[in-house]
Amino acid sequence: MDELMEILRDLKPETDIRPDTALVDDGILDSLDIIELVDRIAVVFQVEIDPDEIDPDNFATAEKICELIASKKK
Amino acid sequence: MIISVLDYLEEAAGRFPDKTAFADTEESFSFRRLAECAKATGSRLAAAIPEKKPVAVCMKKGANNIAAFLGAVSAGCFYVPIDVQMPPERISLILEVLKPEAVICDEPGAESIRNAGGDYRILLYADAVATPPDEELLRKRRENIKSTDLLYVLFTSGSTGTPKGVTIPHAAMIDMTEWMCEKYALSETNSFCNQAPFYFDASVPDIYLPLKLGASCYIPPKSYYTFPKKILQFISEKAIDTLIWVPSALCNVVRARAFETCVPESVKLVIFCGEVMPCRFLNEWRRRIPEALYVNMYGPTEACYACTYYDVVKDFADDGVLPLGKACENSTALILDGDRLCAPGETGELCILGECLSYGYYNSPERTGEAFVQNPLNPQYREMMYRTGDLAYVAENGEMMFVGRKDSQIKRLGHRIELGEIEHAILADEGISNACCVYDSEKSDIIAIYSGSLSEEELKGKLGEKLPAYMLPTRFVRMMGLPMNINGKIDRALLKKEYGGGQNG
Repeated sequence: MDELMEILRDLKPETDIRPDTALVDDGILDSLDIIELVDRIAVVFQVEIDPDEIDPDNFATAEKICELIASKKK
Repeated sequence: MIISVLDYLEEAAGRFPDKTAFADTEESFSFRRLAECAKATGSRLAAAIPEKKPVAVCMKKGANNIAAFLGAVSAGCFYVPIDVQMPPERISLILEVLKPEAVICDEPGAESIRNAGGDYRILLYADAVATPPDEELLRKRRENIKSTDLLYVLFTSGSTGTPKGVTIPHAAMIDMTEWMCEKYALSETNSFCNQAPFYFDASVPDIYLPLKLGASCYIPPKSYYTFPKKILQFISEKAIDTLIWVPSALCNVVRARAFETCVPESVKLVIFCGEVMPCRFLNEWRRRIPEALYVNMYGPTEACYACTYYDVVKDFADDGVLPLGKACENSTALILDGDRLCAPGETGELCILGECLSYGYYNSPERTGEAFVQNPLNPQYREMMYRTGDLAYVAENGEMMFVGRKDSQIKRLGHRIELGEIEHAILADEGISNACCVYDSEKSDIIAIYSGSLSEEELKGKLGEKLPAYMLPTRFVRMMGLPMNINGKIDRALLKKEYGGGQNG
């Protein structure tokens, strides 16, 4: 979680992001951010997120993104 | 003869009263209902304010925005879309320049306007559409509308920080609409999928093409573009055939590899305008939906959507450059070096003349005078010309080619270098998602700022194979994401300040 929070804060330094902040509904992440995030997750966590998994549910909050990464690591 | 866009609305409402005109995920307007809502809003406005005055519209994006716009037009006024999420300071700057007679708002919009300060007449959209139409008053207002009257004013960011209000008359919009519909053989059977915000010039064909044709335009939520899988599914479900998007939206579909989840085969026409379209992303669209026609359009807001076009009918390498093509009908594009016409192959400033042109910046004669000038090649009579600040040349085959921004051309060690060319070379690599170059003239340093999976060393190595030594960036800065300005474009001014030692060139 810490590593992911670091990526998110790096991506959006002007926003106070917590694990349960609504990243999509509050319009914090835009289309370019999502792509950056997916790229960065691939590098940091060594997991490839499938195109089909790039959807609003999986990216709703940092917690949800963490769950997605964990499910991919199994 | 068509005098105003109200003629389009009237005809569409007569021919296709029950057909969907504009629909978002919450609300759908048939052409009849759109006309009724425009009349109601127009009646309310006309009773309160004089004609030919600015009416700002500050509402959450949706199909009802168009009813508000056309309401302002029905009252004989012109509309000015304001982004409801814009910082209050910027809204305040815009309103100070505009001095609107009224602001049509929904609840969030009213809050934004109040937060911006100032004393403006706020008219709630919900109240306005509930007004009984005053046919007599509307008829009088409409009789006075001329095709040379303003239709809208769109605010763009000015380099000095004060927003510029670009004025566009009905005639320019009608001219563009008629040409596009004829050129691409569009009819009421076509359907559109709006992407750009309404305060952005790239959205105007999504409003006026459907209105002229009696065709349907869908307005999906912004989050669908954040998750391109959703937008492709949406296009597929609605069997949408015409996309008029900005290049970055098309690129994102490819970057998110969304075609692996859905290929909307209904798409037959893809028009893009507003930025340079990188060929490697376009090529992926062409591979996935080969039947569609792809069109590269170019035009600043000052030239009502577009003034040049290029139909992509041949193949381009991933690092190729799309031509700007030729001038649209009723527009003329000249390439000038100062007041002199450039020879073929010679780079100069792209200057625009014709029906498409804005009347200049609202309430800003000085800035208008700087950009809108007399055509220097015509000493015989008054003919306005807009200096775009973009550099281009005419290639051997007669197509115009984009070079870059005039203010991003630098001189380094005696060489004239276009920073855009270096950016292009960087962006051609698959591992790069975004790039911007700035120049520090004091140190003669070119700084490449980019985001993507490539390391600084890797990028440097790759560029060395493509660019001459004098064009190679001296420093590389890898960022998580490049900062964007209010128009959704890379914030060059900020990067320049941070890395380029302040001044330009």
